[in-house]
Amino acid sequence: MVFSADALSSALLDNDWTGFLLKQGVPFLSPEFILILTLLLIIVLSLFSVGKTENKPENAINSPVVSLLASNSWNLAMGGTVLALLTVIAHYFLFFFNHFDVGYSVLYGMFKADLLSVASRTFLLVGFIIVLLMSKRYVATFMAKQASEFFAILLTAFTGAMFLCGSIDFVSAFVSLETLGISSYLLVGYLRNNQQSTEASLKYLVYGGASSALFLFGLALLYGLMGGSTSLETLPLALNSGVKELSAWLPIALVLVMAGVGFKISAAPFHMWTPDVYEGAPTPVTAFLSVVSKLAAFVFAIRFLLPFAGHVGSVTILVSLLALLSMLVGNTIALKQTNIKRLLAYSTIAHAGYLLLGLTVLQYHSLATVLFYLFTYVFMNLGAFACVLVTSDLLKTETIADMAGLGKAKPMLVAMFSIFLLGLAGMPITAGFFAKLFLFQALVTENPITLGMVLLALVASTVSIYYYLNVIRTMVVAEPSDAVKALMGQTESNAGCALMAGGGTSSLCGSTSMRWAMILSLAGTLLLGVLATPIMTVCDVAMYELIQAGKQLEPESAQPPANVGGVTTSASSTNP
Amino acid sequence: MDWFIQTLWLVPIYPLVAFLLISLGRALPKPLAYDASEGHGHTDASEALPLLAKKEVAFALTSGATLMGLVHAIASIGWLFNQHNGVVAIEKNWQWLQAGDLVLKLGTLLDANTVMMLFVVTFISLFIQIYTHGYMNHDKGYAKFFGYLALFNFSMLGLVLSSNLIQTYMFWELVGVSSYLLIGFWFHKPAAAAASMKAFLVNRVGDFGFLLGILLLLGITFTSGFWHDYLSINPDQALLSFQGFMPMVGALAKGIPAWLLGLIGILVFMGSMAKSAQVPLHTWLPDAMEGPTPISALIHAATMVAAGVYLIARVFPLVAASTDITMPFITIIGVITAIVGATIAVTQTDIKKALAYSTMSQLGFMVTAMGLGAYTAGLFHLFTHAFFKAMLFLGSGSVIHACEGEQDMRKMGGLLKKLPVTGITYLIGTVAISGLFWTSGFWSKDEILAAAAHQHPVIYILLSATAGLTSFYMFRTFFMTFMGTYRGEAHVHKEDPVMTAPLAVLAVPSLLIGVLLSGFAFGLPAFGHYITHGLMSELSHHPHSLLDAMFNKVGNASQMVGLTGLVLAFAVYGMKLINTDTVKRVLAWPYELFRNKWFFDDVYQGLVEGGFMLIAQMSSTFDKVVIDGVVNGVGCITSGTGGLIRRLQTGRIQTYVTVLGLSVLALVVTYQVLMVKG
Amino acid sequence: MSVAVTPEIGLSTYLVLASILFGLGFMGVATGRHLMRTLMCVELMLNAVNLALVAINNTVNPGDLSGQVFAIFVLTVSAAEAAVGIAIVIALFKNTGSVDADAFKELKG
Repeated sequence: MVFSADALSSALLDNDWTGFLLKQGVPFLSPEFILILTLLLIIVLSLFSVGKTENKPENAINSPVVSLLASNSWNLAMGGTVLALLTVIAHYFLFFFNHFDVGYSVLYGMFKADLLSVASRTFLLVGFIIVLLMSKRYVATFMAKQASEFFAILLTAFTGAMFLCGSIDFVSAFVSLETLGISSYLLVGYLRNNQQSTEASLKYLVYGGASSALFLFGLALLYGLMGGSTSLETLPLALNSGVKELSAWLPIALVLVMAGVGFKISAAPFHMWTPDVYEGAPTPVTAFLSVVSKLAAFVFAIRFLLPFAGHVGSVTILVSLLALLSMLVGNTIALKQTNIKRLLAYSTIAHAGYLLLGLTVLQYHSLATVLFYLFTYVFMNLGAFACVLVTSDLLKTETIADMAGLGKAKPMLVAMFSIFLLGLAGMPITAGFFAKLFLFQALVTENPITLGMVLLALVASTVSIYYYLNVIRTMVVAEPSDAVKALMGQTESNAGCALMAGGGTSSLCGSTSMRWAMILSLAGTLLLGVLATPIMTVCDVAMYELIQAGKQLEPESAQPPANVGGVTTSASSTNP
Repeated sequence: MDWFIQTLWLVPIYPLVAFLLISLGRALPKPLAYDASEGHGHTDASEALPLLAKKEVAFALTSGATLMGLVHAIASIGWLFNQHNGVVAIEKNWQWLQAGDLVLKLGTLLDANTVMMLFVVTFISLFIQIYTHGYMNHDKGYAKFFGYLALFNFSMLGLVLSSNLIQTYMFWELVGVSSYLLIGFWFHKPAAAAASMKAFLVNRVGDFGFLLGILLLLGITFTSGFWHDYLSINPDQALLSFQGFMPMVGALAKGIPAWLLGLIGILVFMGSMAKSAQVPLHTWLPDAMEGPTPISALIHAATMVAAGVYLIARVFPLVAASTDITMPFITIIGVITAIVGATIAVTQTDIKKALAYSTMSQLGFMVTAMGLGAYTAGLFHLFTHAFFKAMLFLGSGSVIHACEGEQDMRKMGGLLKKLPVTGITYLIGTVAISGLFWTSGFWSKDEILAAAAHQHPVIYILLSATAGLTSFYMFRTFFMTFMGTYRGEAHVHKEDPVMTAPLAVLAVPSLLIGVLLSGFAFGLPAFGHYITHGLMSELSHHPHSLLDAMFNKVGNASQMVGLTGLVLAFAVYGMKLINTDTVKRVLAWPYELFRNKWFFDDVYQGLVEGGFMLIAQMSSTFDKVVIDGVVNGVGCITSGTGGLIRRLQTGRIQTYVTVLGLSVLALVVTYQVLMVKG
Repeated sequence: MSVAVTPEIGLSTYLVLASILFGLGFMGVATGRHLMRTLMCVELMLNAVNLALVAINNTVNPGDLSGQVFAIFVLTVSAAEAAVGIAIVIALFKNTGSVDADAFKELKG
């Protein structure tokens, strides 16, 4: 944090706020501001509404506009998110026309507006839109009275994740991580009268509290090591000029920071909260955690680890250890799971392993493939959770065995579920296949160690195919379970809903928002791989620019970039 | 003319556009009047539909797209005939995906193989679509069906034109998807839904092997830098381009052990095994007959199932390089499939099932030919078989349609008088598939037999016997259906000219295409003149003059075998000289074996259930071993981690936090140690 | 405002003290059964880090206050965390009538 009072005081003296804000790059934070305004609006309006909340009637304002808006907190949240998404998309034009190649430091170097933050925030927003679509009917069914609170907290958590994508300062990183974390504790326990939900919330809180304290301790040590600077951008320089007294603390600091990040991305051995929280939390919240938290934390991990490339060569050892452990733990324990949400929790741990593997080689292309993998993961995992949500709502159970024979009652639902699971397993032609192909291909030629790790990852993902296919097999081949038979009984006496081809008395099945959530995820899962080139190019450019920006700060950045690829050269030529 | 060659990439685009437009039409809101009548299957209200949702529009779009493809196909035949000095392939590629130095391309490759397959697919598709217009006219899913047909055509043509193995794989999967959609078209029928699922699952096994083979091949040749060097010389070609297979295999043969090369060949062939219904991955094909009959004719007789053979032709250098492993493997699988298919077909009473097993047997012939290195013969049989088998299936569809959905041949008979066009074309098809009287099947099948006779007498004897059996079971279906007296209860309708016209058209190539392309007629070039692989000069075991001599000898013998089959069938089913029950009693053991389809399905049922039982048993044993190991402190860390960590997941938050702290300590220590070392 | 760091009490001393406090807090979270105690131990850990931050700031870069500002941010965040933590404990107590961490182990495996 390099706070200079001069700029602020001159702005105060000249009364030139606009110029000051522009100079600080505040327009780059417009999506976040939109989200914050939306959530404030939701909170304020919910105070004045009657009926849907727990307010007393005398607090209400008798204005039709206010009560209309207050009872439409979902619409407000959705509107704000879509607006934020449009704003972020507008940012791409800034990058393409104005060549802010190395990004722009916002608010005294707290936040970096570069292509990486823009691209990752785009997919965060798209993912969040799907989460909102998933949660609309769910919230209306299970927590109607606290709907506006729920969306306000969800937006708060999401805003934290958005800030985390661009954080390049310890302070902003910690605050955004905690904004995301603390709001998530509440969201996990939002089914207040459900014991599982509150228990999961408690575990998340205690584990999260402990690991964020570890994270913070690591940051404090690094702060000392860097000679009193909290900026990640100066980390490469500071590592050499820091206090010698502390240099023995460096490995400890790294491990501590990675513990905090590993907790957020649920990498083993910091994964233990994951299955319990995933199982206990309301399913839309689980989907939120598995995608939004993970994506934002991975972007931070990339920003955090990159300065260590070439300086502390052995940071790769630490990341490799986490990657191997995650693949091992995730895939072996997933084989024995009986609850679908727990299975997906272990699957998410395994995916964290594959992704961390990409962080062992700190070069632009391998990092770009990690980013691409994360983007595809958003759609596949959200789709899978959307299917879990509908399935568990239809059958009133989350046990895999109870889903037996569901294919006979709901062929379309099962077909979609199968596509998402095949995507997670990395089968062609889904995006998951291309993501794995690109990632492993980027690593395999790097050096013998990464080659060995890729082979291990291939073995691990072969194991994973078994447990994903086992779910599909249960749904498709097995004889219908009692729950499914009951469902089929209902179906006969009901008019069917179009998408799920069948009916049933579910409130979620046939809900338009749920349908859109699935269609969006399906489109992403199927198209992101086949039409990968533009997105892969964005990832490549983002990572290349990120590395270039880091190099510019180094004194000995003499060496020209090696293999740059056709697209990136044009962009980088504008660099000073 | 040249324009059609230059714009070959449009060929799959036409049906894709048709598919998208039809889907759009189906997504448009329908007027209320239509909804009200939809449930009853009436189409009176169809005038009220938006233009795109109309039946006629769906038909015109799909068949128009196919017709355009056919024009391209005919233009490319003209192009082929102009290549006097050896066939030159034209390859065009467009970049599709790029990730680092991995560049995947989509493209078209035009050579003699493509021309042949392109013609078969578009020609047969077109007439089947006309036939379908009559067959599905009263089905309320008419537009949806044509949409799926267009989707299938898109995938199949993309597969045919594909310039490289990766693109082939993508379209391979798409072809699969559209075929599952079509098999399960009447998904409210449980048997149809189950058949679709079975086709999906069986094809997964084959495709998994195929994918593994591609990834192995890509992994070895990409990391060794072969493609980097090759593509820098030939920048127009794509990664895993078929044109680069020959040098690639040459480089591979030097670089990797023979068993690995053979393994890659067999893995890639696994894809063919599933798609082309080769034993043991054939069980889905007979079940797929639950789909509408035009689908059986198009996908499960003429085009998609032949894609497996086409794939072998495409990757021929790869399989042919492994003469000790892959080639014998392919031959053996092919021969077994031919025999198993033919023997089961003898016992079938369902007309479509009998034809399905017949298809499987004929595919066995083609695959055997490929395995024997008789590349030309295999593709020639693919070519002729496509016409007469499509016609036979369409004929059976016409019969089923006339008999109000009856498929059991025991409830038919004497239909020749009521369905004259169907009966005569069916007879032509039967003669053709039996290889009698110089019809098209005679020329292609006998080329395979000649190759077999040249290679190994045992294979020749087995294949000849199977050919005799083919003649027997095919005439059996003919006599049971069209001769004697009518045994069913259903009222027999008259033939629909929309359905018989395609039959009549297809009868012409069934009769004549063999002799026209045999090299003996009208000075036309022989099929093999163009369709021959560059490898043939090096790898072929059959010099042409020798083969011709063999062909003459084999030809007469096979005519005799075929006639024997005909006479036997006539004796049993035509004249009733021999009572079938007596035969069943005398040959009880083989009859039961064949009737139960060699027990493949039962064995699979047992295997799948037993397999899962075994895995379950193994995992529970594993668990016990692991737990005991941990308890006794002897479990090795690698295999025990799963159980150990799961045991740590106690549900107590204190445990979690303790593990968190200990992990941090352990990581710090490990990290320090490794850093000192490194 | 700044903490006086005398020559005999160096930065290491403060860091060791902070580490001990942090370790105590961690032990408390790892072993404690009463949930309120667990929450207080989390606060202890965060405050141990605050001590380290302030000490490092004064030793390493006394002219810049970023370490101390960071500490104030941490205080704010820990207050929010405590509020949320107590809310969750109250919800649990309403549900089960217990604040014993051992009572909540339904989710496992």
